[in-house]
Amino acid sequence: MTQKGSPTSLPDQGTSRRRFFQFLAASPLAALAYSAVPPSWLEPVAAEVPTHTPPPVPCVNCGEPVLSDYVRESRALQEIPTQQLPPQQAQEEQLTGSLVTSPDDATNVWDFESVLHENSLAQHWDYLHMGVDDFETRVANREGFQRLMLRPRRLPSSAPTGFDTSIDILGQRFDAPLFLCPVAALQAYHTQGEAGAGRAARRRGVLQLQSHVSSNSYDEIAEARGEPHWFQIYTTPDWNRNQRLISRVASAGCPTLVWTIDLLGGSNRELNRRSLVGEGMDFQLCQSCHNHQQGYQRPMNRGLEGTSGERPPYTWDYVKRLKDASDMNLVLKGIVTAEEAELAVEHGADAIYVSNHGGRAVNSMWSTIDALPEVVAAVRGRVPVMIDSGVRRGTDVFKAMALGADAVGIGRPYVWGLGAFGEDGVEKVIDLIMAEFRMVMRQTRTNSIDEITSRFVMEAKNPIMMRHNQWGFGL
Amino acid sequence: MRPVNAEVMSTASQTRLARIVTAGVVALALLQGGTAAAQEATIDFTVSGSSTIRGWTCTVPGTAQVTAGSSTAVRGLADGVQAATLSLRVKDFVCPQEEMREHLLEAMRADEFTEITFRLGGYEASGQGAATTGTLTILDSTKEVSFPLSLTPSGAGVRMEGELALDMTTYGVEPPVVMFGLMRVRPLIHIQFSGIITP
Repeated sequence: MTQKGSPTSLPDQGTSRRRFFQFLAASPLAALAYSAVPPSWLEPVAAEVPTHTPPPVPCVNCGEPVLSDYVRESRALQEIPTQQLPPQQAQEEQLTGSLVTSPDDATNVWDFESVLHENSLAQHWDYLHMGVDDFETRVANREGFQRLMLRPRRLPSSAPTGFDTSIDILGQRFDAPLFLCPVAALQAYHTQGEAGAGRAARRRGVLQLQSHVSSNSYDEIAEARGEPHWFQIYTTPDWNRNQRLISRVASAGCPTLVWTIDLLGGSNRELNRRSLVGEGMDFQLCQSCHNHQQGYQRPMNRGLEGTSGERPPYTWDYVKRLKDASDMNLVLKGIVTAEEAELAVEHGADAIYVSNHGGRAVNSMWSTIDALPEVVAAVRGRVPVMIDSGVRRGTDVFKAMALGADAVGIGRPYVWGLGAFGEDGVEKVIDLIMAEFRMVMRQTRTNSIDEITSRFVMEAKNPIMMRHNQWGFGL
Repeated sequence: MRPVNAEVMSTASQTRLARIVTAGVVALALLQGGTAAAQEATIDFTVSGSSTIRGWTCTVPGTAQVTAGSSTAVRGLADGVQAATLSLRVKDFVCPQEEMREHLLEAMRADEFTEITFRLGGYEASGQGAATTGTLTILDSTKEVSFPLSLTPSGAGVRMEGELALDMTTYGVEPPVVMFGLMRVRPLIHIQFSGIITP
């Protein structure tokens, strides 16, 4: 006979019964059969239901529990509601952007960047986000604006008589000094494409520049916008082909041609190449926004076939050739030095566009806001000066205007808005930047564009605090 | 086998039917005398959303049937609104690409459920228009919705504008999935509408 309690002893009837109830109480499978359990069993089974207190956390050195019962319980049973998350959540969102579900919820332009990232095919995102080589020029563009500090006036000498943000440029009047830069293939980000951006720009009274490699044709955008807009051209070596395109946009009513000269030598777009692996071919879904598909051509390149012409070199004489090709104004985009600004004016450019292509052309470029003062000095007011690259805030617009720009362009921010919410997103991006700009004007006691002068800015002496996070958002 | 009293029963049924028809006609006549007729107007709807590829927008013309009068005054409608119904035909949707439209019609089961309808349940006047509540029917699912309505006097009529966001899956609509999941339409959509009603 074995002794009770020994390893080989048989359990007594009471112990066996309790272990059985413990099994029932602990088993999720057995729970399925609860309806068949005799009523007299339910109470003892309930008594064996374990509480959900987790085992104590042992000290790694001594093995003793190191957390109080209260802490253990709160960890096991409570989930922190989202709205009660600590303030770090808001700080993180302020630095990286948040996933807003409506344009009305956006606090700044980076909120749209996060939504566009969420909405986009990775390859499309990479194309927009990309800067050449190591993104140095993209970073420089932001640092350039951030190095400039404001020198406000607190009280005016007399009561202001009005408040006006409108500008006149090349014979056209706009409600704001902002303009939408030419960005390629906007239907990659939203089916509304450039037409949607055009409707938003028109509603907000800002200028729009169409990219040569747009998803929509000139006519489609002009119809959506309700008035002609400016057109940006990438010239090809074949002059006849260029002439045919120029004639097409001129006959459509385009008042101004913008020639991009900052990509004539190509660019090292590493992120783009990495994302288009293999043959660089596109997914079938992308056939509406890329020209890699066999037989596909972007709208502005269609129907340009014909007799080949001269292949003149890209020199300053080419400016005159472009000027003579139509009655349109001619803007040179990509000037970042005083020497070339002077040459551009001498060769008949109607406006100078200070740009480094948003950091997408050459690495290690200086920022456009750094280049602006010497360009403005060289131009000496003979033609308007435009600027883009790195503009994200109303303060950036103000700083550029203070240093002599006549109009300030945004590129990625409005595409973030478009990709996030279509034309409503573009409208909100314009609204946010203009609201910031108007506030800076009020804070500096400037009531019109003409009153914004270089006296209101100075270069900072302190290190720059950049937005930074692991995904590279916030540039 | 024909019942013995079939002729008697038939006569009684006819009499009952005649009474019902008469009562219905009288009721309709009374109703007509006390209410204004519904006015129909064209309303432009825009439906926007996103996917794992890009944002998208489709448009569709619809109609608004508005019966004015005998209710709380709102901006542009001094006598208020008795009843209003907004509706659109699913097959009238226009999308940027035909393939996209086909996916939409498939998701909306356009052959089976031909219309999307909003019926006004009530409203409260607000500064720019009204805060409305009502029922929205998509597929065979009807749910309560509420959204602000902007009303702006425009010529002889009133421009009516509104928007609401909704999760299409709550109405049983399965968001399209294309290319083995490479492209997935996200369930949250925004519906905007605008049109001029003439009370």
